[in-house]
Amino acid sequence: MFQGTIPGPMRSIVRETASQWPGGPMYVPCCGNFTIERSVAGMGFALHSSDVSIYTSAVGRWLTRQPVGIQLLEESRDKLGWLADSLDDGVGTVATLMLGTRFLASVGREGLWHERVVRSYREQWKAKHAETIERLSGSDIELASYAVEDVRSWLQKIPSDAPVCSFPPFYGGGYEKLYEPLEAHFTWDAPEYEPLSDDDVVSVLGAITDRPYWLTASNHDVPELHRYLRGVIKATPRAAPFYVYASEARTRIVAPRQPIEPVKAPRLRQGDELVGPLSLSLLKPGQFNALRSRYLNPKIAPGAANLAIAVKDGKGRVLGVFAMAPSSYTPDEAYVLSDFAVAPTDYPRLSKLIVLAATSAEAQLLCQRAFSRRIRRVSTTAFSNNPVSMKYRGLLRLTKRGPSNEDGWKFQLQYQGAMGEHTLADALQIWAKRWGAPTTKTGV
Amino acid sequence: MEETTRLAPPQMVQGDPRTLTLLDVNARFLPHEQFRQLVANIERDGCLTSTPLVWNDREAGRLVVLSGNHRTLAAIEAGLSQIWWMQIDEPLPRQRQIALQLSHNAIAGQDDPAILKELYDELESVEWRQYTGLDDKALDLLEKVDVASLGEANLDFASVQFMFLPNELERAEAAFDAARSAATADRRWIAGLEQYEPVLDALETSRAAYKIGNSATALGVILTVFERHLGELAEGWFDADSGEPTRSGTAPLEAVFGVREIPVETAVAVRTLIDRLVKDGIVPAAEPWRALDVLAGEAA
Repeated sequence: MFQGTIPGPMRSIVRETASQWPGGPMYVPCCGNFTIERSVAGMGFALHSSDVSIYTSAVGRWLTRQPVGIQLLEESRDKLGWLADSLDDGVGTVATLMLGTRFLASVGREGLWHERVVRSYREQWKAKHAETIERLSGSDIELASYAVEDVRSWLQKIPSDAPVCSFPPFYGGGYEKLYEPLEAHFTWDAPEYEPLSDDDVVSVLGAITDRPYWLTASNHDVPELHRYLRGVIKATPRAAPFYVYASEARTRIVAPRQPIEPVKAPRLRQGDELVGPLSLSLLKPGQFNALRSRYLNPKIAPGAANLAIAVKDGKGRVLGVFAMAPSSYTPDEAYVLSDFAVAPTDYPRLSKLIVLAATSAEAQLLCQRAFSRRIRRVSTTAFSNNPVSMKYRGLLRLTKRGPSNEDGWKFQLQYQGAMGEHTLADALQIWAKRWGAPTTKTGV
Repeated sequence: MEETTRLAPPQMVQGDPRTLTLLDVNARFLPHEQFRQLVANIERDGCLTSTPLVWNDREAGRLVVLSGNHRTLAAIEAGLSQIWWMQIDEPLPRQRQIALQLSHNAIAGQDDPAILKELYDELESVEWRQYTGLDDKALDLLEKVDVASLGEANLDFASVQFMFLPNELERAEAAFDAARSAATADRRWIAGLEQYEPVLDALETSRAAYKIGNSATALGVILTVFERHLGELAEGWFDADSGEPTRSGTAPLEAVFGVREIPVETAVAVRTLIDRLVKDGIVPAAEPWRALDVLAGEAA
């Protein structure tokens, strides 16, 4: 699976910008999965592409009717001899490499999961290989030439007045890692090149921008190119933005927008008495976004939750929300991404009830259902200017305290605790006894 | 509506936004990304460019922001020490406070999309476009580009949904309907709720034993272990102590032999024997398994 495909809005910008360029040859160094070429398909350009990876070179050579020149390594024949019939130095080899990006990383690795992946591909190989060939054969990409050559030397050779469009790698080693499993099992006339250093990136950018028509993009805000900034694309609040630089282009921006869905359920308000029993309601992503935007500190950048749940009282009024994700490191742990109480209410410690609800047996059941695994513990991170989070104090155990990596907070606090050791009914009882005393406030 | 409907003209006041009291109950909220853009805009401008409406609640000694709460909060976040606001100094009944607050939110006009796009499109720099809080995608200004697929085929697979339902018919039906609406699946397997915990335990034990994270692979381990113990299924129809059946009806052959398959040489020999017994009229052609009765009789 090729992972460097550029997002949809970028493709729109590429096509729109290229439509202003003179027809004729267009050059695409570091062409990756040929997304630029596919974006400008049918516009009359003679497309010349280059790259240095085994994957891209296989596709590029096939698209330009050259022999692919990639063979199975002798030492891989024991494990992958069953691929031999599929390697025809043409589209069959290209299809093999494409499918290889999905399963070769599991070849030779211990563990049932890896064995299952390889077994599944082997069992379905004939059909999936034929299907991939059929897809490739239906592709309408046309290249005038493809060169296996490093961007630095290739840029020196191409005409200085022809348009260049490229998204060169700005992160060292990313693509090398992506194609490691292919390189481990196949041999080819691979070019020798050094990964781009920071200085190389600057010189490559210079060689691209020193011409009348060009477009490039990066995840880095490049100060030297600021006067050429034509677009910023940011998919989500936590995603890295794409900066688009071009000689001439319409300015375009795409800003993150959380889907928001209204939550019509009433909220506990000032003057309302909280009554039992508590209940939990699943929230849709848009509903969670709405409640989070309404009640959570707007400084905190939202992330996507696997499971978002509203805590309601006996009258169906929302008391607060918690959201969970499976822990990346500990199999039986759920990570509390977010938990907050509605406000204002007469209960200054209402947020503790939400934490108690989030660690209840009922929440445990929902987590187990969502993550298909036993969940026994929760963990979370609190950002605070105090060395202890008052919300979690007495409920979860502080396991680590360090300086905050988010602006605006002094401490980053890690908490852990047990899950499922009390019911929602117990939660309400515990909270009412220890933290449930209301205070009377006057307000607008 | 009360008779004294006219307000004395509010006065313009300059002060520290931190001295203002924000509304506890405000129907408006700003998603994170919009709030960040508002803060960025105020930082860029160095001042507020629209004015909050503040009520001087002399009785409580508070300056309450009736409208412009997020603007005030963003001004604080942007580090402004002084902002201008419009201040009402006369007493305001709560009914009028709420009416003012809601009207400022609700009476906000509407955009003519064509003119909005036209004006937005006049902005040449990326920064000014960002400043507006609008974007090209939301305004549908980006050309749709469908690129030809250049990808490999995905493996064939079936998704299976396990549903653990309560015993009571009514609750089970409701749970089934709710579960069915929650996710799509090629197949749904239903089991009693009391089996939920043992299934989770079995999955967890399989995971731990083989150090795997994937649920389907863990289920595969459970099924492999089950295959190895097919013979134990005889307990479902056979009392080993008395040698008597515990029920009538039929039993699966694999529960007799403990395996689903036998070596092909053995299969050939058995098949030949059955054919001979059928030919000799000892076993009816429609019930070849009755050859086992013959074998059992000889053994007895």
